[in-house]
Amino acid sequence: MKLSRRSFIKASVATGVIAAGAGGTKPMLQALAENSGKENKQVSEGEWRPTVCQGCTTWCAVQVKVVNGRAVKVRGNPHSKANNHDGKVCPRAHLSLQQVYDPDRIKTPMKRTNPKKGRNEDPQFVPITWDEAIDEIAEKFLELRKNNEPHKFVLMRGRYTYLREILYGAFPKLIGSPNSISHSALCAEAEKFGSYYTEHYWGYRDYDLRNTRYVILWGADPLASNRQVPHAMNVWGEVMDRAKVAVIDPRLSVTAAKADEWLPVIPGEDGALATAMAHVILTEGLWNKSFVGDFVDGVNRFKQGETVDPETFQENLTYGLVRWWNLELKDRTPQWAEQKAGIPAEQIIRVAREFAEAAPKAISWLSPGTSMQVRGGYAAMAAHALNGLVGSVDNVGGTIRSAKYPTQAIPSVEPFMDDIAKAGNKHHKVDQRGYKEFPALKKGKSGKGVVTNRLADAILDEDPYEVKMAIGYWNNFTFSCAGASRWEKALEKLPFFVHITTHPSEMAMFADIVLPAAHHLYERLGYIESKANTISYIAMNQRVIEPVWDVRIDETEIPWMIAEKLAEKGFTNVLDYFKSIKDPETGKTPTNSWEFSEYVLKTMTQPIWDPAIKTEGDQFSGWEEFKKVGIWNSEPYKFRNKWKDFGTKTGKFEFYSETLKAALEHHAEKHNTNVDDIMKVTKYQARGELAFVPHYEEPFRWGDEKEYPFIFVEHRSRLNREARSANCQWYQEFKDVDPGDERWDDVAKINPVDAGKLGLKTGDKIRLKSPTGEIECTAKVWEGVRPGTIVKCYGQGHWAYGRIAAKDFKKRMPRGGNNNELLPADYERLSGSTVRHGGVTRVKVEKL
Amino acid sequence: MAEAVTNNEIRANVYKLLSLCYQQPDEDLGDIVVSLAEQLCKVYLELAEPAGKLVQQLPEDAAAVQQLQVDHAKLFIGPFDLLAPPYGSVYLEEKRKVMGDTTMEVIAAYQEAGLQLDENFKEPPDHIVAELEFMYFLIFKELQGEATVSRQKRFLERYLQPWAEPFCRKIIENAATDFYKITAEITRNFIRQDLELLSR
Repeated sequence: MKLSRRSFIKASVATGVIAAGAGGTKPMLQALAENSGKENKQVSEGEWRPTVCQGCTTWCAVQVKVVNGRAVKVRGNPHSKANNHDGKVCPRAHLSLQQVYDPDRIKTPMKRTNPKKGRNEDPQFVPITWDEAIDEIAEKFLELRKNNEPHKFVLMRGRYTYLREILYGAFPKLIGSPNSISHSALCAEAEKFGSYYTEHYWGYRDYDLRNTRYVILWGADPLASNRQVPHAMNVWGEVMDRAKVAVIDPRLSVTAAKADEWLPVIPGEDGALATAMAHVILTEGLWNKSFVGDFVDGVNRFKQGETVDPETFQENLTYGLVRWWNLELKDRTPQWAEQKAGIPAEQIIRVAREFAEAAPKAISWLSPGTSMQVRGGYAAMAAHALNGLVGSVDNVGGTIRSAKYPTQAIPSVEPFMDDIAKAGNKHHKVDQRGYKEFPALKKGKSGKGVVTNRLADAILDEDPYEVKMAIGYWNNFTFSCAGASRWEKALEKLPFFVHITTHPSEMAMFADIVLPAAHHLYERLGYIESKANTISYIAMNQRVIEPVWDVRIDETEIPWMIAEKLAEKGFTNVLDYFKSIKDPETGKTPTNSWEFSEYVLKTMTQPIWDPAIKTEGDQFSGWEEFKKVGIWNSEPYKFRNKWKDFGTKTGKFEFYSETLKAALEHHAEKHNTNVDDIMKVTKYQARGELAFVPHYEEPFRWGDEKEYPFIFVEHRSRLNREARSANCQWYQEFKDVDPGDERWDDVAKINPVDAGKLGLKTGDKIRLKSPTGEIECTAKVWEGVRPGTIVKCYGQGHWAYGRIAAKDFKKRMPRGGNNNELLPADYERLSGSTVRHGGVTRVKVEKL
Repeated sequence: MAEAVTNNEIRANVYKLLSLCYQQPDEDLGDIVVSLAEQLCKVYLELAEPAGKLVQQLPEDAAAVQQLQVDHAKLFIGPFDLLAPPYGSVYLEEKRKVMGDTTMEVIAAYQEAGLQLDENFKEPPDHIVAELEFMYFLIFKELQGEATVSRQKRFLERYLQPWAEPFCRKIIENAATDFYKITAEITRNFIRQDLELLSR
């Protein structure tokens, strides 16, 4: 550093200019500025401004109270007809106040100065300007393109708004990469598998809770998580008045604690319960005759152990009932299920009977708990098939879908793709989807679904090819993927990684450049589509406060900035495409990143706010009014519309899935083999036609029972903002709102019987070991877990997520342990879903 | 009280230069530190020695500059373990967050003085850089003939000094470089003395 240069500062001091004894000079200000005079006294009562909370998958329309530029309170948007009756919202939304004003946030672009990467390597980050950061990123893109390998770039997406169409949709294509890899397979693709291969619906269901008379919750805990939480909290009193609730969960969840029936199933044995319930419904003649059909002569031939002649049964809106019975159900007695699932036969019979008697106002509510098991795909089908048996599919008081969301697409990128981009996009996607052992049969097509967690192995093995550059946004795969340590290795290997994030994270630890993202609830533009209470809605993320730090919108502003830089350097296609998206009101071309974001948002939502375009649901006079209200609500759901044609191969609700059969056969053909072989490589037990019907599969577990005596169960917190809230003080202070959990701690819940055998008491420090990993946490002796299981909430165990989340960052010491370091990286391969439930691993406990 | 306050020009300079010391280190740092030492020598004799040491700690090569930048980032920016959060509200209020009630009071104090946060300054209003600069501004106004001593005292006493103590302590405990340890020591002692001066 040169000291000789007489800088401005030195000259200023020497001549007294800083202090300015001489009158008339101005003070030398950097952080402060003379008041513009407009807002001298900005004392105000505050104003409620609309935006969206994406702390969980509910995606609530909310309002933020802003007083003097500061966000002080959050509530549900009173205009919402779906989730937020009278402005109510769940605890997660309130926690967001501590996220947005967290002193540990990423505040400015930063660059790593230590080239070595690893958990114990200090990245030695230093701040750089946005221009420097974007310049370096643009150079890397140009280098890949120059070498004709733009496909070696991967875009990793975690949570998102629908403005993902820019960063995740258009941008990689224009560069020349097919590798837009979403997080979806971490979420619940196996759950969607259940509804798709019965009723052709690849999506989360809505439920007509207000009219229902019976609810079976398969691991779902709607009062706490997954999904439409505020709606569930609001109506649950009514539900309990009118309906019976049965919860199938090895843990006494929030909802189980209030339920009529608790069935603490042996993890992963849900399929036994579902098939046995179907058995009861059929043998007792309780199926919905108008929906399913009946025996031609009205005589019930569904008798235990006896096959039925398909000719004797006349089906109505379903397909393959008799074949399902003959292939699977005839021997699935409640007594058999009792042995498998550890639930008394009489309880299984009672729940099945009362569920069917409530038909069609009966809900069999599927969740990841049942499906995210190595062999969970068929359990998901079986649980959802119960809705078919009682005719509650698409029906009043039953399980339904969403109304149409009146949005429109942004223009095609096709005309803006040059030859390098076109060639790059022809490569196979990098996550191994569609490989023989990874069918990922999203919507009936081999390799259409994502296999998110496999990306780590793809990077490590360079299979199908090397990855040289990646951008990750709104994600933290190093924490959120089972087998998390593989991700640390993969990111160590990755030559250039950019992480766009609001908070420091385990993934940012491995970044070459970290970019500060605008917080979704307070600082950005975007929109979401969601549903609850028979209403579908679209709500907008809006900038309700001026951001404290120098943040940008991940999905639109950052790609715009990169596009500008690429254009400066001679590659104009991305910017040309972006500029083709005009303001739909004025026709203006965007001139900066913010205008671009707004024009994309306006374009996509135009059918909602533009009175010239006729749509159903809430009406608006124009853009300004839509912005002010912040949410569009659909008309109430129109029941039974799908009954005409579910969209399956047969048009019916399929108990024998011709749709799945076609998908599996196609996948087998692609790999020159047969379906039995596909079953084998995907770890399923079914052979022959069993592969096409919902059926029982023994749960697949890692670890030998002798060495690892306990089945590990994980669950969600009512305070988790998708594992992003652990640095909020309120999260830690109120952690005991999760039944059995403790404040400021991370506990493994153990039944008193087991604890007694192990000599453990509450508060003991313990180590949990699985065949693939180990973590440390605190023991909690609690009656609310099934003996033989160890139950632990997901969300704690951060070692790099800020001062509160980690116990001691310097020592990389987490607060508690991350379940994903214990869980093996395994899959429900037919959907591509990662697995974490259904007791996918066994563990042993060591007292420390 | 106003008579007790002398050397306003030096006080103003020191506040301004200390404010600059907490910005990201760049090529101006040498001049800032040398100037700070010069100013302190004139009046604050017991701070002259640490100021001299500070000059000796100035980075001499690119590697040393980077080391200083890394330390600055770890102390005041993050990410990960923000070792010495440079925000008043983190210390003055129970909840560990920015934009607290005291931050709003600081904004009001700025407004009362005809100031607001510069739009290019992407940090909360009670950032150490802004608060030190605000003290400079008030003294500057005093030099121009506007009576600001009571406002100086009130701001220092209510906002800056109470958190400057634990803030500087965190720097001294956590800094990897002597540069920031000494800067913190000077800051803490200067502010302490200045409050005494204003309270006389």
